[in-house]
Amino acid sequence: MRACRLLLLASAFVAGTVAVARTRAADELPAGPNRSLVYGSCRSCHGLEYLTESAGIDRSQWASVLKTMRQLGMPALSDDDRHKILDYLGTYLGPHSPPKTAAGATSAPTQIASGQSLFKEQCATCHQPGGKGVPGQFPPLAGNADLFASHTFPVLVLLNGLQGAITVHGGTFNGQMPSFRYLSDAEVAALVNYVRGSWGNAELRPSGAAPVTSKEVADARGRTLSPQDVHAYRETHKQSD
Amino acid sequence: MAISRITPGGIDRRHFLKLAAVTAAYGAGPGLVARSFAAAEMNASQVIKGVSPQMEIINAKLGVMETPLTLLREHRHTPKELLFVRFHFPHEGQLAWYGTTAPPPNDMVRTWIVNVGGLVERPRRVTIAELEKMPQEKRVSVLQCAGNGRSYYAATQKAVGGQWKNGGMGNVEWEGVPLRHFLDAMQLMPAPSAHWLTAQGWDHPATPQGSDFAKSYHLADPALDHAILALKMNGEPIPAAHGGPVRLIIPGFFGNMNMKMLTALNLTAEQSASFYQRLGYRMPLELPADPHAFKAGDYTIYNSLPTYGHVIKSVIFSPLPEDKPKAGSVEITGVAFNDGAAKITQVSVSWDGGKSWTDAEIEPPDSPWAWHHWKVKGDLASGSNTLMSVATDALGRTQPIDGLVRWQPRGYEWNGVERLTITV
Repeated sequence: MRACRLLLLASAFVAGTVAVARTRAADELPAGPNRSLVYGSCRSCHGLEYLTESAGIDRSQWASVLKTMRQLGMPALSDDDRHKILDYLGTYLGPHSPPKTAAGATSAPTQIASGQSLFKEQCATCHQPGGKGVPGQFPPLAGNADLFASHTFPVLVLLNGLQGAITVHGGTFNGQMPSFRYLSDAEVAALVNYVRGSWGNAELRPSGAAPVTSKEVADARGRTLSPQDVHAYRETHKQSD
Repeated sequence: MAISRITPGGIDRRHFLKLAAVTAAYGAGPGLVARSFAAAEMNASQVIKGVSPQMEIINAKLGVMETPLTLLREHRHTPKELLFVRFHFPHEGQLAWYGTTAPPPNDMVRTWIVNVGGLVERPRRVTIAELEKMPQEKRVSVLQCAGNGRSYYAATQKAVGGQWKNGGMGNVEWEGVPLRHFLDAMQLMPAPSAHWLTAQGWDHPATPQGSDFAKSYHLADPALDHAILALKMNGEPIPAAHGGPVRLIIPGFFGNMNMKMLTALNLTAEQSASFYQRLGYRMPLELPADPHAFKAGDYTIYNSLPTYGHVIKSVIFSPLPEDKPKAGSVEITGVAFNDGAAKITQVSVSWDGGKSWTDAEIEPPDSPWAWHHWKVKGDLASGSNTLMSVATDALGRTQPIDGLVRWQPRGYEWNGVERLTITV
């Protein structure tokens, strides 16, 4: 009976805490392992509020939600990624208090994922496998000369997002690329170097151009830009229109 | 003096906010979930241009928001700035134009086409100008999200999705072309196998893999007798955020059934294959007694039904916690509504937690589908008072005394007896 009351209290409690922040948009989830995989999988189609407002359900119920999302068109996940996402959701947005996680624990993984696997988990839902994009919705990354607009331009896009109309290969895009600032410096560098080296993009590389380093990402991270600022930066450096 | 809305399970908001402050200061106790989610510096008017900044954001990327009752109750017809908003796809890029209470752009309206076809011999393409030339009728109707009140299911188990309170509804005057008349005038010559009407809107999913939004209605459904292809909302062209330039309005039906930005009406042999028709926005045929027996991903077209007509419901508009009433005589007011299929005959109100009930006076409504305003003289004692309201219609349909009996994993159609705790 007591357990039941506590559970009841807990669910009411979540509703209460969510309500407090209601006049604002949620833009962050509790820090924990594989949070970035959750961001990469969920943010293409809906805001993070869908997760925060549903917080309090258990892992098996989150699994059922993932099944629903798959039916709604979420790309298929590997079993491994699916388990990682459910571990995160069941632990950090589940019915019990999440464990204390040291600050920064998510940004210093012991092993850096490859640029290829990061692309798949963070980028491919919108930019599509092979970086081919979706006409009118998501610009292609394959053959996109903007990748070399400057040494750090794609780093600025990943860290700050990009908002404003752009033209790539004659197609117009006016979406809102979100910030991926939650990725570590090494992950951002790995992603940029992977995309710059894939799908024939290496042929666009100016001669003598070096890969981006974690240090350069760290330096760029120190300066926060708005997504509109990044758009203005592109306007003065663009290569692709 | 503090008053607050009671949550199912009997813990009022003031109490758990106090708990929230305590746990924030001393760390979470066992079983308690204390977390605050980081919030962006963005209010509702930055999510949808033109809405009140006091609207409560439920999902910013999808432009989902509800109305505080203190604002909702101020208007007989809910203005565009205060009507709840619910989209299914991000209003970004090519879809950004509808993230505003302004009407859709002129050049878009000029070239807008509603394709009327399917299993017919003579498909048609109809412009807004052509619709405007046809006879128009008005309908005052409650527009309510099927998820309105979902948060109150959390006392059993959090139901997934936006945690709506009572603000996912409004009372709106629509005006447009009666659907049945329109279909007849089109002289479509449908095939005998055409049993369904399937509506689609202009919006489309965020990714190419996403399911598009569509709704199907059985052509024999009497609710369609009152449906209109609405061109105006509260006397103005329909705002983009509320489904302009043309929205299918089926009075008495839940919000998701009223197709925004209508682009196609097809006569079909089967319901649409859209997720939103076959798996989403549905109620299980058998309500699950155990929250783990039936989960969000377990819905099929066979074990559930779409959220078509409103279930009967009443909501208390006054006094609200913000009103800080004093002990003694008080006028209790609110609204009631149903699907319009039967007259609402009774609204009973209690201010002593359900020990005694008094019938409220029901004001004649604008239409069978509109808010039915009601009022009754009550009395508040010093200490804690629990206000309750329950509506009944001529078919004997009423509200469950404990709304949690209708718990389902997606938390639709909340209509439990309304309760508010007021501490004077």
